[in-house]
Amino acid sequence: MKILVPIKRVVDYAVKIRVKSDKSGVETANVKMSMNPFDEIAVEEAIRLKEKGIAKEIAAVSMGPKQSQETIRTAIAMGADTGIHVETDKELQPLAVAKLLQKLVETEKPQLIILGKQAIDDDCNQTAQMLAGLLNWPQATFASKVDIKDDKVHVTREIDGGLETLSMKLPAIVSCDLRLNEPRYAKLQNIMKSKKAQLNVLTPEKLGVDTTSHLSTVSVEEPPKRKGGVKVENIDQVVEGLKKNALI
Amino acid sequence: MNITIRNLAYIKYQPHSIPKNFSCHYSTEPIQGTKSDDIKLKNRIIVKDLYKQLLFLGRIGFLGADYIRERAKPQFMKNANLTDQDEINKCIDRTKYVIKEIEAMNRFHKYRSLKKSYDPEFQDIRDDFLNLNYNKNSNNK
Repeated sequence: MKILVPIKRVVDYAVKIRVKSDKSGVETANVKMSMNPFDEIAVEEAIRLKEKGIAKEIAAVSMGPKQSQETIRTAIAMGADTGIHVETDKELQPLAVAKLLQKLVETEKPQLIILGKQAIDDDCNQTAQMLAGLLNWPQATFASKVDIKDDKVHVTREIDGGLETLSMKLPAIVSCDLRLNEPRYAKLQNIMKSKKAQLNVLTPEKLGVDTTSHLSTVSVEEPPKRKGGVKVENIDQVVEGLKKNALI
Repeated sequence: MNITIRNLAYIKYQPHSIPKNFSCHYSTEPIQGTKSDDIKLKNRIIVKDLYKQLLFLGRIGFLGADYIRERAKPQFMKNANLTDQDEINKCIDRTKYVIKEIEAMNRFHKYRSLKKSYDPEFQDIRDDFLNLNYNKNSNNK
């Protein structure tokens, strides 16, 4: 079984984000970038399926400028087999990403697509759902547990009311939530080896996909400042607060 | 041979292959009367690899490579001239332990920050822990 894992290169989770002075976006020049944490969880899940013997090959895909190749190499160092890079300098909207992935699915023919639920820079949470619509495949989003038995995937989803378990036939799309697994750190030796790995570089023109965005960003502003915590006077207030929020 | 702590450390750390034309700026000639240069070379490679791992963890984690380098480099330089294999193995064990601790800290920090950002329940509770209009005599619990 082949697994396709789309990943995204985003601003690192620990970086303090600053909005550009002309309110057109977020400062991304000279800022530390790394793989989207939810995509790391997706790569880890794919590798665990491979270690169990269910999957034979893992392909990591990323779309973006030349530097995205580093994130693909990180995925290869973690355990993916091949890397595909769709090179483009434009900002891609989730719909464009879904269309590109749809084209790639035709050549790669994976049985399962695992991706992170959302990217931490735009928080769209749309790519998995749009891709499922375009391909007409079943989807399970916010997965906190993935099991593959015979030709079916059993996914436990985290929803507002609790947990929901779905089962669907392959091929399917799964999007990962935070509690699916703990992603591994790639060993230095593997990182050195992945630097020499050959990536399959494509462009949206070669795939024949129109990636013009139908959305335009009007303005990007900082959120209102946090009010700040409350200072407590005695231990009774703490217990009261904990009880009120059903924490004890 | 008997597996004891002192030679377990040496057995476990198999360095990745030493290239045939290995050359470096430090001298690899054996000092008369002490260990063979083969063992010394292996020690050097192990220690350098551990140092690189430490810096790498600093670079990808939230601490930063500078923070780790400030603290690790003096320690490494202090123990640069050890000759007793036991002492060296102890230092190597300690470094491996520190590497695991830093890795655990990175994972924990990442999980916690993602949870803070993406768990709406968590955020509401955090900001409004006491329901700012906290009134002892209020009717609703």
